[in-house]
Amino acid sequence: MADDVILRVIGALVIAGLIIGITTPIYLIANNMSGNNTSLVDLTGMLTRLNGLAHHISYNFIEEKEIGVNGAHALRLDINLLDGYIEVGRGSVNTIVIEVYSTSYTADGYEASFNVQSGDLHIMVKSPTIKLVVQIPSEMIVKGVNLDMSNGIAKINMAEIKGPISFVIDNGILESELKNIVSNNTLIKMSNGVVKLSLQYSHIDLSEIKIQINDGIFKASIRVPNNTMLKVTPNILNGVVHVSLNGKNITIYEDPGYNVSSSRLDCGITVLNGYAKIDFER
Amino acid sequence: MLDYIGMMVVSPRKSIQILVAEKRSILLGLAIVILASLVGGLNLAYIVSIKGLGFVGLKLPFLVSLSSVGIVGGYIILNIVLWLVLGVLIYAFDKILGGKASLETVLLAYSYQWLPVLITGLFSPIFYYLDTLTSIVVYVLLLLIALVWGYVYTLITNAEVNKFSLGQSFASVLIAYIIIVITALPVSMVGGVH
Repeated sequence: MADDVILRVIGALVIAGLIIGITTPIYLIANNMSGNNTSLVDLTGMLTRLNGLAHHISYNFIEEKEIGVNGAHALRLDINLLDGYIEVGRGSVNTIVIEVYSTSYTADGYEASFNVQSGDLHIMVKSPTIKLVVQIPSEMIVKGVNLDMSNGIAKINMAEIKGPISFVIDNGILESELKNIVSNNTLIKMSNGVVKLSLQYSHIDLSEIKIQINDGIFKASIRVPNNTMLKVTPNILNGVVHVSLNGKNITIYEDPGYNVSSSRLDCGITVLNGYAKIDFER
Repeated sequence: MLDYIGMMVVSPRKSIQILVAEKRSILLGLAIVILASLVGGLNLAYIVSIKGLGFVGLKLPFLVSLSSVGIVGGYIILNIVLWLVLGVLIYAFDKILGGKASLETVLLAYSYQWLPVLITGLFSPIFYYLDTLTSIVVYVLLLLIALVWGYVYTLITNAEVNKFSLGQSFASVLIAYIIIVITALPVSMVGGVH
């Protein structure tokens, strides 16, 4: 009788091994291939969950670097993110923090070159296991932000931006809050993935925002100064798009006096597919 | 059913006696090989296609799909071919040593080689938590354990169906394995050159 029980337990273990051995890799492969376009879900929840996951695996760090950029007066930030997790932000101690998380280790997984005296920062992230902390003084301005992202998770929070902004996203998750932007041109181009963006302009002369969405989920909040005249030209071929100004839905929109104003923001929105929600505020 | 499977793991000698007495089809052996290949192949596909391609920065959806299907399909086909070829070789050497079992019975007995791979499936979730290199090391380690474990099963079951001693069975199976290794080496070297 006892033997029978043991045999059944072992038999159950074999069956469990079979089921787990087949379903686990199928789930992991399917989950990895489906990326971020599985469904339209709450962005914040998704970001929190994935960030939590990234933090969960952060024990895999094998290298940590801290780089001071004292002496530089301005910074241009170029990031090419193929995979991994990157976080950029101005912390409470006047720092930009760049953190890259990944479960994969490679000695040549990243290329980073810093020319801090001229204020340029180029980061190429493939799939590294590295954490970079870049210290910058609080008075430093950002000359421009370029993010070229194929996958992974990026969180970019910055302020005092006096240069062009370019986000080109093939896939992945981007959450970004850019404050005190001074008159510039902004390009946001996404093929897939999830983007949650907050742009706060403090001063605009003649500026342009180009948003091109091929697919994915895009949510943006764009705050402009009161005196800025706004022109919004959506070109929607497919997908679900909501554009609003101060909470009211708009389609094609142009402020009276736009053509003669010295403070103008021209926003062109092209959506081929996916979901986009763009809220303008002043 | 569960006690039946449990018996195959705990007492391969007794279970092969029952399988032979019940005149179980060769399809049972084929099923074990295919299911074990699925477990091994899918885990290898996850490590290579998701972790490995990410490791070298080539994790493109097309490549991931192609390599996953290729690895799993190739792994199953390779294992079935190995099962048949090695089974026939073992059968041939069994006959030379005076074995009494039919080819079908030898193939059924030889399918026990793949049984431990099913159990290693229990370790699949750990690959998620490991980096690429550690995953490969753990995978190879599990495969080696399953190989040795399965080899012991094969010795026992092959001895039982042929009414051999373990020594005779050891000789028969080992010679078959050596022939495969000797044959495979030049073939792989030629393939490598091309």
